[in-house]
Amino acid sequence: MKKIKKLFSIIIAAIVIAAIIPVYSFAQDDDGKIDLYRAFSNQNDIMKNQVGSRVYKWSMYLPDDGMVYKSDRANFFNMSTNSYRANIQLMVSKNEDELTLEDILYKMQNSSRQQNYWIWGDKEYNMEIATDSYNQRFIKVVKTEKYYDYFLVDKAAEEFSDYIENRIYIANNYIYNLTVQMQGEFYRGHQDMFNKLVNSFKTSYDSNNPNIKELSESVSTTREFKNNSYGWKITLSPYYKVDGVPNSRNQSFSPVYSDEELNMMNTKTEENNDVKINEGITVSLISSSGNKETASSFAQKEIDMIKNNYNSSVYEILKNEPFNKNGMDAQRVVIRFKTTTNNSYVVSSLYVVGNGYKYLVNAIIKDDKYKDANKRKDFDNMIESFTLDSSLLSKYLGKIVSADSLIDFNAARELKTKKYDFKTKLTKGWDILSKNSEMFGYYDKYMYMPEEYYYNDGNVSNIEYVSAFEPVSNININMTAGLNANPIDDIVSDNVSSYLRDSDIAIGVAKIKIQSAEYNGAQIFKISKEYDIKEINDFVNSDATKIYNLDRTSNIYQYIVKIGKDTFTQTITIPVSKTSDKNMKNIKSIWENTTINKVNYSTLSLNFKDRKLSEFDKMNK
Amino acid sequence: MKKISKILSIVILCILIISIPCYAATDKKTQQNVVSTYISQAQNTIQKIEEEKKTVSQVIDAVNQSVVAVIGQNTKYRNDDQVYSKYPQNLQFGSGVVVSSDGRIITNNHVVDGLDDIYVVTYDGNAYKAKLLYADKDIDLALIKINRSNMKPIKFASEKDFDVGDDVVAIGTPLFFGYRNSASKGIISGLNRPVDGVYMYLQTDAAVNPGNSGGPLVNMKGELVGINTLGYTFYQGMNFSIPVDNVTYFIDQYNKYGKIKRCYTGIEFEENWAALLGIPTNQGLKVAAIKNDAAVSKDEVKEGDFLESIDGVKISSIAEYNEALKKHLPGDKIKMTFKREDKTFEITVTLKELIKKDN
Repeated sequence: MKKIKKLFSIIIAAIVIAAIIPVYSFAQDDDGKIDLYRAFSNQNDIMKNQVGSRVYKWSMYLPDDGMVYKSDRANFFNMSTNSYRANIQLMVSKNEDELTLEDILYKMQNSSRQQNYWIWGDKEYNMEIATDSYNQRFIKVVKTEKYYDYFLVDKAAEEFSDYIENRIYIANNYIYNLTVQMQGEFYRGHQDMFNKLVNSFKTSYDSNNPNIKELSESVSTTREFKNNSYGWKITLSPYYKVDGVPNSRNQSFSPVYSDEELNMMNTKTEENNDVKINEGITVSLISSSGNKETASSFAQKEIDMIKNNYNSSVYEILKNEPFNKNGMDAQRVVIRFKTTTNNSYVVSSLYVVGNGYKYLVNAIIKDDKYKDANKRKDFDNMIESFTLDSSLLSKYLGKIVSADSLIDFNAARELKTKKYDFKTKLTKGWDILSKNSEMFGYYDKYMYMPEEYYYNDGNVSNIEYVSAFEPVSNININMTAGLNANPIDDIVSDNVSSYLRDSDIAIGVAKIKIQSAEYNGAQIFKISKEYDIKEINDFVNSDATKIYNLDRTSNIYQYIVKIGKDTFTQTITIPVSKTSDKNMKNIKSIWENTTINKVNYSTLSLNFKDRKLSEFDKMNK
Repeated sequence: MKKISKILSIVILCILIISIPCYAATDKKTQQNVVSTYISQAQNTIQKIEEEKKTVSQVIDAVNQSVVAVIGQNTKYRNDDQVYSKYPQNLQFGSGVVVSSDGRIITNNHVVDGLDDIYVVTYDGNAYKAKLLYADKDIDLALIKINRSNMKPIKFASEKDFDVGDDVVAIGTPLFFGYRNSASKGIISGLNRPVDGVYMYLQTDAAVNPGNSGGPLVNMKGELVGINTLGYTFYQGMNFSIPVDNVTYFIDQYNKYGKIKRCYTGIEFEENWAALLGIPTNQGLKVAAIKNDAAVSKDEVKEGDFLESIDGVKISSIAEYNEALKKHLPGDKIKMTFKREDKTFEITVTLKELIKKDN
């Protein structure tokens, strides 16, 4: 019985303890000893005491209160620190010209003798080539700002002016331009602190040192990007960054560094830097999708548009096939564009219909990268990671109508001058521009304006012009009518004078054709400058130093008609890359539908005579 | 008999005559008593006032332990990828005041809005992680709690007991977190100010700067008269506090219902330009729209009608309208007087409860 009693007592005691302890610990006050420094510090960075760039290979001391501003690539770095009363600036640039420290010192010397502007510039006190404790050679310049001497009297300027040490290092095929600037008064009492900062700079990056804050860290890993307004997500490869504002309807991503930088090459590459192909990925919500619209029909429409608007020799369809991922309706299309000679690029796309919308994922890749299986895989992974997620759709998102579905682009539209009877027929697909036209789009278009008109006061002019632009084909048309009493040959001379010194015509990659005719007192000139893509390719293949961007090189078709004292000019331009059969037919039809004073000269049996360009060389007349 | 009457009259007269000085003597004594009572009462009152009218330092001493600083990292802002610092980005701080001994603290909603983790630093410098119990954007108040007992709660003044001109002291954390428990003194400059167009505020010229938000405005008895909330940045002495009645309303509603049970009529109003400029006007609030789930039918009230009064109280601003509804609970009936062209009409409306979709 005693045993039972004892056991019972133990059980009761255990129950009481078990019941009391949690209640007691729950009721216990917090001790109030939270260290807010720790609480608010980024736990990954709390021990960091150096900052640097793995890509550009440098590092230096990081004060705890350092406030860093850096460029995306961290090749520009600015750090201010209040506890050191100092500002540190570093610029890293590629040593393109393989300069030595002596070369740079020589340039600085020449520059300091020439540039003597007002208060700008520095007061150098020490300029030499020195070696630091890491055995790194550098140009050392000690200086103060001239600015203080402008406002303050001599002693005060010396007292208050910042103390500056500028160091220039050459290493890793880069030039490092480091400037450490400290408040003068503070410097005089704390030279050791100044030296700590300036001497901490190294032209190397120790990947094994966990205390270095790597400035590109935030983009150095594979990470998911979610567009929380338009309902999609994508996985970004390392060193890709978001361009512009997140959650945009057209969201772009671009690489932070070039391959050369990431590979940390120490030798110069043969890469042609003249051609800028903006590699990257853009995801766009194009519009709401129609009931019967599929990814395949959406893609086919775009392919047809390319076929209709590009010369067949400048593109190549590499892939057009359904893409199956988690039941998403998608079509994979890959097209190679050869619009810049010997610098072809690939547009790798994913057409998607879902969430009630049409999405387009477009990646632009240089062809050499596309041909490299590993690099292509990087892009493919990003493109194919695209996923629709209806939980990411904004509650504001509604119907986004495409104007294409509302407009009959084949419907007729007239382009005409007001005072003069000069007009042609276009279609609704054209944007007609006048002097007061509002620009609603962002695409690249410009408005031709005769010089006389441009400098004229208000609308008072005897010359009138109208202009139109077709955004898909990039065909541009300008029509000018007005007083020009000069002989027609002089007018033509003015128009073709640039052709006389045009190297493309001289070497035969472009052909000039001038023809003239007369009808009932009207003098008619037909002038064309037309490029031959085959000739261009042959030429650049024979001379690797030459390059043509066919998107920026245009064929020009011009009609000049002089009737009495008035002259009527119609000029049509089209990028060479866009000279598809369809577009060329359209260009032809523009003149065929043009009337001047109700006369359509294209329907008349005019006896056109060939004229030579040299006939219009004013210099040789 | 006549003789007897005569004798009686003489006796009465004598008594009366004798009694005059007695009466006179009694009046003087009474007067002395009254005066001394008055003096005594006045002395007591003065003494009481003097006792109550503490010095500013006494008030601050009395209140300081109830004043806390509130801090956290606002996670609503994106970090700028071009900026790096070990400094935490988007730190946000304000003030608060202890309202219960078990660690409940009142502060402004805008002080804790966007903070995933809220920290409270008490008068003694200790730091605690706080739990958000309830916050309301419209009234701009939040109730948070730290796990600490035996705290000194602030006493609440009654709105009837203070008036324009009363001395007040603001205590809080202006501009820099190191300036915790900074005090500034001023007066109540005005009452019933519709500053943000939602509720009425109390105006004071006591210095209130960013960081003071959520801190107390106290009278010279050390009682809470308001929660410092707003101020004009580039002007002087134009600061606003949420009056203690609204603070009490907020806490009471939370204690009873776990939230503010706000009344809803479903009628949308627009304020006229005079109301927006603070110009007195007889114009009521113009009905801008009537929601589908309104407590009135579209036949009863139409767009363009003017709300003249609620329960006989004139309404010319949205703040006044909200203040009128604040006195009620959903399900209550109110009398709304409207004007349509020249005709005035009254309807009885059963108030609904406002359900906020974003909250």
